[in-house]
Amino acid sequence: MPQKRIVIDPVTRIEGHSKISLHLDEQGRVQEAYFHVTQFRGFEKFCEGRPFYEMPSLMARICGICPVSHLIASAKACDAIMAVRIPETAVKLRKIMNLAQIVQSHALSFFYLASPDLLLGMDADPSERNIFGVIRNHPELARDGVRLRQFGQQIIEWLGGKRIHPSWVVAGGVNEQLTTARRDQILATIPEALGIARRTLDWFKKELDRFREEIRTFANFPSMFMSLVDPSGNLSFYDGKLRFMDASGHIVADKVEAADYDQYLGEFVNPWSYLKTAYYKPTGYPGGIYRVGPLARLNAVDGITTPLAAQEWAEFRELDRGAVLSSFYYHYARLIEVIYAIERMEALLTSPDILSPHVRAFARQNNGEGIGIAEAPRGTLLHHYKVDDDGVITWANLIIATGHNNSAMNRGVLQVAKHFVDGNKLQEGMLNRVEAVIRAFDPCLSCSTHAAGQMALHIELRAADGTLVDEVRR
Amino acid sequence: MPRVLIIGYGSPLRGDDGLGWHAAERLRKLALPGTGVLTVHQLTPELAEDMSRAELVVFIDAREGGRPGEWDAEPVSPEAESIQAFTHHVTPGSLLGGARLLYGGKPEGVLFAMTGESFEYREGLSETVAAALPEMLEAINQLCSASE
Repeated sequence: MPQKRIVIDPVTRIEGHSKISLHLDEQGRVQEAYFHVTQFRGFEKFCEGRPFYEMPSLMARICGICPVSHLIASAKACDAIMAVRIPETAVKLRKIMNLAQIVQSHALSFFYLASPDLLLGMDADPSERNIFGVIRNHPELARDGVRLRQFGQQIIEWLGGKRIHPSWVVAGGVNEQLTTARRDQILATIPEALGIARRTLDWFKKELDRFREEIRTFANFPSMFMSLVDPSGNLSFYDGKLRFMDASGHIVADKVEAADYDQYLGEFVNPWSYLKTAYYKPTGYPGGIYRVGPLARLNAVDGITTPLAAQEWAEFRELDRGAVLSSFYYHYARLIEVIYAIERMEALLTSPDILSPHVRAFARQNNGEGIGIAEAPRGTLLHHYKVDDDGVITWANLIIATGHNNSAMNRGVLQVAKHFVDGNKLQEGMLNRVEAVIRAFDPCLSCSTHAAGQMALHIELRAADGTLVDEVRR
Repeated sequence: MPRVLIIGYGSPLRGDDGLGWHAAERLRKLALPGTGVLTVHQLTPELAEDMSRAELVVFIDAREGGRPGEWDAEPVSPEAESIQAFTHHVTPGSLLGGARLLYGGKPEGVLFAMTGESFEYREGLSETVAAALPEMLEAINQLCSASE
């Protein structure tokens, strides 16, 4: 008798295309669960042969949600190829654009994708459990979500000329200085955005009690966490070095240089998904599971440099004795990061040299390769390029946040499915929770399936006793 | 805030899919009184607020199916009960619904859609679509003028 299988296809309210399959035993209990990413792209391959200075603009096309992160990581890799130290004002301007993107992307994740579950309940009627249900029942919160996303997107547009795929960040810096009028325009929008972020976080913290079961079971297990931290160990989205922390909160690797990433990070290809799985190399696969993104960042850092976010972070870290382990708290961490991003933008915009005209360094290629790392909304983003003597790309490797989180997402799906799904009596709310654990990670599948290679397809048909009945490989 | 908001959408890098952009940019050059023009790759929820302040929203898009260059104009009704994901990809109707529910605006909506011939990677329109465009632009121009 063939094993029973439940397929959730497509997974809704995430960025990209995927499906989840749950394998049941004869009693209808979940035995295995897989998160399959079913879309396929090819950026690592088709950028070969292009001049390195085109890479920021090319790589930004990987994603329409977080193009700025790819711009930043790519530009940093190009800075390294040119062997230049870019002007300090250019660093600050890049940071502002990256933070604006953190705000708009987190707003998209929290308000548009996750809030229907949080506001209306995991078991609400799906015809009501969507953004229209939110608009009808909580119009103030829906308006706040739209406004906060507008805020981030507007800043990106003001700085880069357009909201999606701006070309302002270039190898060596940025291509235009900030004007006084533009700076004042951005600063004028900050109080409203900060107000929205603070009242949303206040509301969310009060709601947490309603989600005790989800907190207990949503990818809540020991794992490592990875993040960039600044030289003092504080939260940083642009510069710093990599830190790995274990589940008890102990630092297991610190001050890891970008150039050494391949000593710590490996990638594994599963035959059932286009999404590669990153793992902590010293531990190996599959044991080297770690998480990145808002939860990981707030776990890994020693502190936050902006006052309101620092206060919230201190409260957040009280949730667990070691690292905060439940992935449900990604939502919580996301809101704290929004507050940080807004506060930090204000600080950067009011720094004395922010209007300096010196915003770009020029050079040809002086190194044969370059690595750029930045924190994207969903986690650590790494671009690594090699060039020939003419500065033409000969090889590229990208490690994306969603790939780092792949192991944890799969394990989380299994944990939630085992806890909530009864294969003998399926209810919509059970399956929604299986999707919701994925949403907590806020995966971006457009970003994470950028690689090219042999199309991996492997289908197994197994009997309930585990015997292989049939198999197809391609 | 303009009484009429024209939103041309699509990808200008995919041949006739960029019809909305080309049309909207030409209308922008006409500087029609009381008319604002936006060009976007796709419709997003943030547009609902701008739309809520207008009396008429004109959507311009390319479509598949039918004879290339063929176009029509259809009124758009607000969709408030749609179960589709209202994320970064929405329909004109769901945006009108959002404008109404979130901001209390009640603009009328009209979608001008033309059948494309080629959606391959290129920046210009196909000859067939380019030849048909002036007639559609004239109709939009008349609609905007009539709403003054």
